[in-house]
Amino acid sequence: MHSPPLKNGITSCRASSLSVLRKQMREQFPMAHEVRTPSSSSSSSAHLPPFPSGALSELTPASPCSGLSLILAEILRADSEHAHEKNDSCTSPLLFDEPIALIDGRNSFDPGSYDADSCSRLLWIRCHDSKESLRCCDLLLRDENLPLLVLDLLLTPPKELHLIPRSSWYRLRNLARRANTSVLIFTPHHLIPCAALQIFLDSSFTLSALKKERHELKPTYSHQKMALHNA
Amino acid sequence: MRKFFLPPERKRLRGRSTLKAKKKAARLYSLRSSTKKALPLYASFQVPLFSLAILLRDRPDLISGPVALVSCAPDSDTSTPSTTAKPVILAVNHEAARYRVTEGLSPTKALARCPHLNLISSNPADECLHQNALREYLASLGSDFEETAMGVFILDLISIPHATKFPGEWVEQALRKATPLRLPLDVALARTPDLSILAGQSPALRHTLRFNSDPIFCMAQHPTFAIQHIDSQPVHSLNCVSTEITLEAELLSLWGIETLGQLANLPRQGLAERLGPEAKIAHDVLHGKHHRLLRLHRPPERFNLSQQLEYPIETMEPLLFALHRGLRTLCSRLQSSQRAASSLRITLTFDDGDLYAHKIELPEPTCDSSLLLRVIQTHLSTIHAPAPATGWSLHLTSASHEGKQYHLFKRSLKNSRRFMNTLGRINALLGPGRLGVPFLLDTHRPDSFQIKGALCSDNIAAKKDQNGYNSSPHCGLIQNGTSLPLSRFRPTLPIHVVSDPEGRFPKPLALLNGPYCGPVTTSNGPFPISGHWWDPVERWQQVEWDIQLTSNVLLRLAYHSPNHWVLEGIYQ
Repeated sequence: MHSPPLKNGITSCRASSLSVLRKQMREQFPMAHEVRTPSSSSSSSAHLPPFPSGALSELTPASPCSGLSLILAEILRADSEHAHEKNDSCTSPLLFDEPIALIDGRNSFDPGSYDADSCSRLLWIRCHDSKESLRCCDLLLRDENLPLLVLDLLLTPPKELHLIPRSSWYRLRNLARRANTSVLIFTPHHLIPCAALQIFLDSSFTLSALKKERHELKPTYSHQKMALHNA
Repeated sequence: MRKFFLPPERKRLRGRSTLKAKKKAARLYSLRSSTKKALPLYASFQVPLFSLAILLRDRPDLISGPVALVSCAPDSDTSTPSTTAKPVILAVNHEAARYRVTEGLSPTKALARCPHLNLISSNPADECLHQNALREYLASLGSDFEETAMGVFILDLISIPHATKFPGEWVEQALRKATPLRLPLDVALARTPDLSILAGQSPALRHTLRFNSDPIFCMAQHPTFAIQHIDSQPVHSLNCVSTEITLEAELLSLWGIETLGQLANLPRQGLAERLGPEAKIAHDVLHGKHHRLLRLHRPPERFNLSQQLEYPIETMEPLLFALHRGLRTLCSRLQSSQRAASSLRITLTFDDGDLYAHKIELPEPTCDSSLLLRVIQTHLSTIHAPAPATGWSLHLTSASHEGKQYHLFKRSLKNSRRFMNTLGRINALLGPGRLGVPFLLDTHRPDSFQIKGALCSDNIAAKKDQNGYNSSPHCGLIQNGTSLPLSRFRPTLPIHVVSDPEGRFPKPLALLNGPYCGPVTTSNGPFPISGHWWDPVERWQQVEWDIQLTSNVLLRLAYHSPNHWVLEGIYQ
């Protein structure tokens, strides 16, 4: 039977050895001990809001040219830079370590508008209609391999979007939660009832913006809502 | 006194009085004595003057006359065949040798010695073909053989009991089996591999097959090997036998050693002291004490399986059942050779004579038949068979199991096999060419890109190329050149546009129809672009305009002469 002072001594000794071990681990693997907010995703950058992991995020433009495509460019660029920092040589049998899937609802993505490195990290899925887009999203979420999916429904006609049953979005949300995948959905108007994050882009670019450099264009979002009650 | 004649094994076990030890010694003794009786153990197969023989095979009119094989000598500096190098004589037949035409001579000198010499040039492709034919012939005689040189093989007879018991009969059968090759062949038997080669060079010890319109078999005068039958051969013939032996003929001739017999008669200990270890090895070779291991030829394993079905199959399930059986067989063969499949090729034959073949690349080598079947099933669901299937064929490309180090704090695909299967299912859903990684083509033509499969190994090289491109001063260069990314309409939407015809190119003023109508408030342009002007078929030319409508929609228009406007995309 140990006396209380001895017990306290053992406990303090264990605590000190644990703290030493933690310190060593922090020095050895600083990347693993980065301070992150619980809702943040690795694919976010300084110009973008943090997209929650394991949930749906809906991005809706307030005006016809609000710079939503700039957000996609930012995501691709941020992720490729992140990959470059981590690993310079591609030794994996697959092309990429962290691919980003773009489910293109209307086959409208233009590779020429993005730099080659951004394109090389993209798994482009060219769908014909919203039905195909949702099925592809469903398959990729069940696959549980990709950390980030982008579903582009911007050019999908409103009639077709209204035909999507609400239960489909709930199913996707549950799958995303199970796979711990961030799903970014670009919609022409508010559509998803269970989105954990809704962003309305209220910036409006004019023709003069085309003469500027891309890094000078900053899309602004005025309203964001964490739909915690849905999560 | 009797114990001194016991074999070493029995001497070692002499002290043991147990019955088991005695039985073991007796068994070893009987095994050794049976091995001694089973001589010879090796057979050499040699095509004399192989390069020349294969050329003369189809030209029997040249056989009787002097013939020399000519080739271009390699460049002394680069050691590569050069067209500018002088040709030299590579081999000569006996008729040419009588005129003192020897190897290494220039054709001019050779013709000076023998004016009616026939010069023929070597053909490496033919040599490879005949070497393959000889290899197949040897494989039909026995599984364990060494490919010593071009046209020279050594066969291990230990696994052929008939050859060791009745060597003469076996050699005759082997020579008769070689007649379809229509090449001269020498076969000799000996108890070591090196001696069998030397025996093949002795006229008294070799069995020969020659052709003079009909095959002529000539059996050896002395079927049993003895050193005196090769003692007249020159010493340098040992250099051809083994790479371990490099005797200097000049040094040996100074010692008065010219022939193999003279070398063999010398005392071994004194030879090693004076001429070094190589002379000792050569002495051992001649006395049959040096028994090297054969470098056995093993053909590359092929993992193929095919089946012609008795009845045509109309539905998928029975076909998958048959394929699964085939895959299980192939996977078990892969596992037994400790290999895995890196890709598989499936071929289906249909009742109407049509053929379908497809190669599926796997993300990681595997020998799991269920996984491979799932991959095939996903792929087969995408194709439409024109008729019932009458046969199938599977070919697995073997690869070694890949060792992969996973990192604790780095993300990668959790399950690449499942990912591959998912991609297959999406491909089946969308159709071919709708899924992959986009790569830009090196052209200014709008909307020019190439889709490559996400699991394609070429992508890695392509990505490295692109990364190399990005490391240049043009890093981050965007082909489109606009700050706002474009969303394209595929195909482009033809629209009616009110335009101002003044100027070189018409300027859009308003859109009359299409998804976005209205007057144009501002516009950037014109941007004329063209390409392939030298090709009448591939030639293209258009004028692009970036416009803004009153509804603040930013669009890209393209004008094709004459008076054809299309909506290319929208800036979002």
